[in-house]
Amino acid sequence: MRIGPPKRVIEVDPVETPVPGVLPEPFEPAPAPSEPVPTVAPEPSDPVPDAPAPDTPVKEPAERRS
Amino acid sequence: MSVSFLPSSRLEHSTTAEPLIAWRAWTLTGGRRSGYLLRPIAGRANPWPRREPARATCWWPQRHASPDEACRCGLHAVSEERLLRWTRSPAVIGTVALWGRVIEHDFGYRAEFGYPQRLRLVCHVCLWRYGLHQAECDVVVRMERGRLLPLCRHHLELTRRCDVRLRSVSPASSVHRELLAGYAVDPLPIPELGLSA
Repeated sequence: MRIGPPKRVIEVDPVETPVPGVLPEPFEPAPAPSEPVPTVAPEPSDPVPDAPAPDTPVKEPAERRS
Repeated sequence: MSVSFLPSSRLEHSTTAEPLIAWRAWTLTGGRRSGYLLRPIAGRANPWPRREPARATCWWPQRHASPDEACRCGLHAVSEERLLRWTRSPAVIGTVALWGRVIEHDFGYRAEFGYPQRLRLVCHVCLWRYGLHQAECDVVVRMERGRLLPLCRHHLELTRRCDVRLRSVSPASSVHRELLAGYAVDPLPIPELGLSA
């Protein structure tokens, strides 16, 4: 089988391998985010009870001077 | 195989993403249990593996990446099927995909990687006398050293008349079917022959 003199050099880089049954490199999915992003607004927290009114010292009425 | 050379600096370089399709001939080894294997006709190179690419190597003492512009190494193939007619006793003819580093010659290629695409068993005597279109075979005979030789009925009879010792005779259809299954390729259809010319 004669193929004669060389003419050119061809670099062939196929997108798909011509070998049947050989799959391309497996696709690696992007890593999942560390914390899922909530899609529902969080429920409001329990209402903060009203702060009790500060104890106001009951001022005893001044003794009437007799 | 005969290759003549030019200085590498005179060779044009190009790139492509499509494998090159060319023509090639092989001998046949193996059996039903181990599976049938394609083997290069020249030299004692290893068989072409099934379901993985054949890769060129150079056995020259100063080893180098194959194919090299200044060497004869590489997976050889021809650009037209008619050029295979004068191959020395082929058992299988087919198309082959070539990729990697490929050196294009006037009548063929030397490639880094290759894998068969379509295959057909041929009677090598009919191939030599009539061409690929009339090289159909009927049986595959196993010769003394384990070599497998597809033959038509006519040339099987002539071989027997010459007192050539045949170890076994198998139907070509079953060998062909198992060869295709082993390499997971399609048969080379007759109408396809000659289209590349």
